[in-house]
Amino acid sequence: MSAPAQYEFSETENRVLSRLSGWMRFVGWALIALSILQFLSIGGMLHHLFGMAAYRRSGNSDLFVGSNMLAGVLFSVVYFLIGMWTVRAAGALRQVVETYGQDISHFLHALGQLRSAFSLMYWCLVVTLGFVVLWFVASMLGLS
Amino acid sequence: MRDQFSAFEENSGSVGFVSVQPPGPKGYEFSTSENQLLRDLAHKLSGVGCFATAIGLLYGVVGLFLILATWMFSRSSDPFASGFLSFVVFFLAVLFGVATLVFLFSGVWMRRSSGGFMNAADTPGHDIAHVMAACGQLTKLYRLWGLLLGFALFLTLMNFWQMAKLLR
Repeated sequence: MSAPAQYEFSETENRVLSRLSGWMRFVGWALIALSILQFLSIGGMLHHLFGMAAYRRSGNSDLFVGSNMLAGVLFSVVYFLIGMWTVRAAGALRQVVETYGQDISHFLHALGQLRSAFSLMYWCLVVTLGFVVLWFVASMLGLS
Repeated sequence: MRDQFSAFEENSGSVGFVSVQPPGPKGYEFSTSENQLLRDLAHKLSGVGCFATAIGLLYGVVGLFLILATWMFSRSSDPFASGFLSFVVFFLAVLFGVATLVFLFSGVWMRRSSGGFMNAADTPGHDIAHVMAACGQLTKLYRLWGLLLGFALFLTLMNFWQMAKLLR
């Protein structure tokens, strides 16, 4: 006894999903490319190799350089993860359009990947807002 | 009576002697666990959308102040303030205006998309129509992000090229 056939998306629905998949794939790969470039430039090696001596000469502390690099690396990791989940979601949507019989499974897989991407964005924004509030309170109390 | 007939029609797949047996299921109703996924995604989309809208409004306020500053600088008797400074502040106001639009549109599309997924999870009968409406809004969002990221990628690559030329 075979499993019952899943819902099959119509031509019109497939067109919508195909368009969404195309843009999501582009956004995902662009984010991955930007994360790699950011890792190389801001957070990574170039900054360390060519910037450290100049920062020391200009009187900035190593702590400033280190925190700047750490922020760059963190941003590039976040971009990379969001990009990776977006590309995976786009791949699952593409499978909805191109294959037959498992449309709902592929679609839910895509939504799961999308949820991971938006959860990370959401928590990054919450943490950032928390830091902004802390900084604001510290400024008001004259602690910084 | 009509509902009973419709239920019979859906269950049996036939009306009288005329067979209307469809090739597959005509509609789809998401299960409880699937609805949970839709709700969770909707909450996250709505949260990020609210943040985006708030940031957009904040940028809008800063942009309005910059326009006001441009107007004040342009009325100044100092030629530096009425010329160069006024132009720079106006340019910044335009940048903030663009950022305001980007954040506001992103926020609206994310919240509309969230509404579609939430409707699919909470109401029976039109689940596929609701998720397709949500996907339509997501397409607009990703198209905007794609264009912006493409431009950002182009600028970053140009920057790398310039840096490589300087280091050579």
